[in-house]
Amino acid sequence: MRPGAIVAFAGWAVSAALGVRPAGAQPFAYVSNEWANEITVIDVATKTAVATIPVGKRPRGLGLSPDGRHLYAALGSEDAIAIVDTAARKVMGRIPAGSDPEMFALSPDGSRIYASNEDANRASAIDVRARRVIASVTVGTEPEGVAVSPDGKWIYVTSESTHTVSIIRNRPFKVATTLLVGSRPRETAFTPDGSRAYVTAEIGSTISVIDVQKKAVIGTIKLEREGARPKGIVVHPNGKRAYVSTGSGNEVAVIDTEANRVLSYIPVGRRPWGLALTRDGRLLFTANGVSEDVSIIDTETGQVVATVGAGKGAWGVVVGR
Amino acid sequence: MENARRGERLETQVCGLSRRDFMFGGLAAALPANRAGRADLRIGLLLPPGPLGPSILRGAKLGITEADSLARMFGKRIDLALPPVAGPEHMARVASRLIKDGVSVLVSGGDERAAEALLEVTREGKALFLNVGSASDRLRTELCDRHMFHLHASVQMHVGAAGFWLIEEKRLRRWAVLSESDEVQRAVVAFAKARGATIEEGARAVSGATDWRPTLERLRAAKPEALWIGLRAETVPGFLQQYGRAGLAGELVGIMPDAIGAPKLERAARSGVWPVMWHHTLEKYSARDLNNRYRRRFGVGLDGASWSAWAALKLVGEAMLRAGTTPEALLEYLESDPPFDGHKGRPLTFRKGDHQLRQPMYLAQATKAAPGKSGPSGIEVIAEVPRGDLDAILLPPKDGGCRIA
Repeated sequence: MRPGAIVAFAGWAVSAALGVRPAGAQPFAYVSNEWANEITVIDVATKTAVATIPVGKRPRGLGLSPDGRHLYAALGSEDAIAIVDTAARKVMGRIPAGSDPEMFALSPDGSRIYASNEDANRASAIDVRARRVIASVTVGTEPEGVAVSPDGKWIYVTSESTHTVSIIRNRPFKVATTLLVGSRPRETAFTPDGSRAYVTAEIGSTISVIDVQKKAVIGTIKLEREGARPKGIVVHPNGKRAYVSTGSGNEVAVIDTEANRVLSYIPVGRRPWGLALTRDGRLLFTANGVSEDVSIIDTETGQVVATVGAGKGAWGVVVGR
Repeated sequence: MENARRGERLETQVCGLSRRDFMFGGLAAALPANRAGRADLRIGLLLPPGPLGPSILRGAKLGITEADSLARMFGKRIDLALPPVAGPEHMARVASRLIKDGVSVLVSGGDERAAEALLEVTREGKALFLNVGSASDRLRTELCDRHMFHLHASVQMHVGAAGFWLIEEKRLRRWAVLSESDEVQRAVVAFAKARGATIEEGARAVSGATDWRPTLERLRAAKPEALWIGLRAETVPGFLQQYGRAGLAGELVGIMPDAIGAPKLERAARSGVWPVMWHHTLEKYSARDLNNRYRRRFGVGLDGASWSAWAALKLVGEAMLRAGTTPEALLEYLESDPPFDGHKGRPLTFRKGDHQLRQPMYLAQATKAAPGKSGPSGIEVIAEVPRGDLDAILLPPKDGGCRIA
């Protein structure tokens, strides 16, 4: 480890120990701007951008620690995951993450990061405090989206070129089975009770429904919409709705998770990819890469209630608690 | 590295021959029965000698590695047989032997003549036939067949891509055409007629011509806004040199479908715009990932011919997992509009009328010379065509042509 990294890590540990709270009383949303090399910070209460954080080259995938104190951002052009102190709004360190990291997921307790390594066709488990890879397995070709089941036991890794989802057991870190899903799978989201997982497929224009216990695809939802390329997905805290960004379709599809069918489409900005919900599920944020903004949707009315400017190539979004 | 090693080992296993044999096509057409019994799906690549051979072979090798790797995740295996083929006249005999040995999918890397020779055999053997080597429009019209699918873009698609760009992007509708190929000439005239462009001058070039002055004078008089050339690769440099000296205005579009991807294009296309199926500089929509995989393995850039061979093997591998291993199941699957991911950013499907894979094309041109240097420094892609509906670069199958239901 480089001396600078040790200092940064020590600072992080001290700030965590002192219980420094995030700036402001309200939760904030964080948007990665792929080509602006920065994070836009949005005040959820006022629905306005309040800050930008220079973070490093090509930030895409984002994650928040369970306590909201640390934001993680995959830096594709720096082969690292940046650690941002959300109170100070400054980068406090980096975790080596292999070649061109794009997406990752945090374990529920925040102790591990699970990341895909596209060039190597592998998925890795990273110890956050030690900042090192502690386990790695081979998955399909072009691994991309990573998601962790609510109980932390299962890690789902989509592989775009093989159209597969590798279901990895947490301990020991080992592939339990592989499922064939729609063409070019991107992201996975679990229902809050962990019984179902939904996987978007960009080229197939589908969402595969997986029975988590059976480790089997039990249904497929087709987005019958011209130009729809499903990418991001989140499930409402009540488990009854899933929201899917459709990329070049410029909409968010609303899925009824009980009937597994599309209920409606909500027009948003251009090329929505990243999605995030507030803790209560009332507001949905979409990161729109081409229009370089964020659409904020009231999930009860299904209407966009605000559009907030972001940076060039808005990509991922997370919302604090 | 592990995957790369696995891929190399796999290649030797599935082909049943040493690396040297594989590279030189030393595999006997009839594979041992025990080997035939082990694979869930057997594919035969028929590759008669030709300029695209090395590119097609590399694409097929990457395709079978990726298809078999995927199959093995689900406990299945795919074999690729690569029998020696001396020429188009041997295609039918070799194909018959492969089918008898249990091969249910034939991939043809040959030209129109070679593909035509395979048709009867695939019909009788009820095998699937994937064309990755010929752009012939005739194969898609009067010779079309339900068992034949075209991964390679047709002559008409190449013309359609450039024609669409001329009309929609450049607003140029007054064209001239100079071609050694009747097929290119017909395709340009048909596309012009269908899309409201006019042909101001149409000249059939004499093969082997070296003095282009009379032709250039006619073009000067006709004053077209765009000139199409359908010349052989060896003819192109001489023509372009004289065309440049003549100082004629207007956009120049070159069509070289069966040589595209071969280094010939890079050498010949010193000016003008050239439609291609793929280019090694593509980056968007995960094209970079495919280009990187190919370059890591072979040390050269992925070209159009390689792309179509890779796509054929990858497509069949996925079809097997989703539909089954019999030719009937594969055929029904391919006819059901499955969205194929060719790393082109959108679903690619076969057109019902002629089984042509609908796909975006790319327009390439020579890069400008770097300051202080003479001559072009390479080829770059300037446009993806079309951006919208993929049928925009296709013409409807002609009446009395293809009869696929």
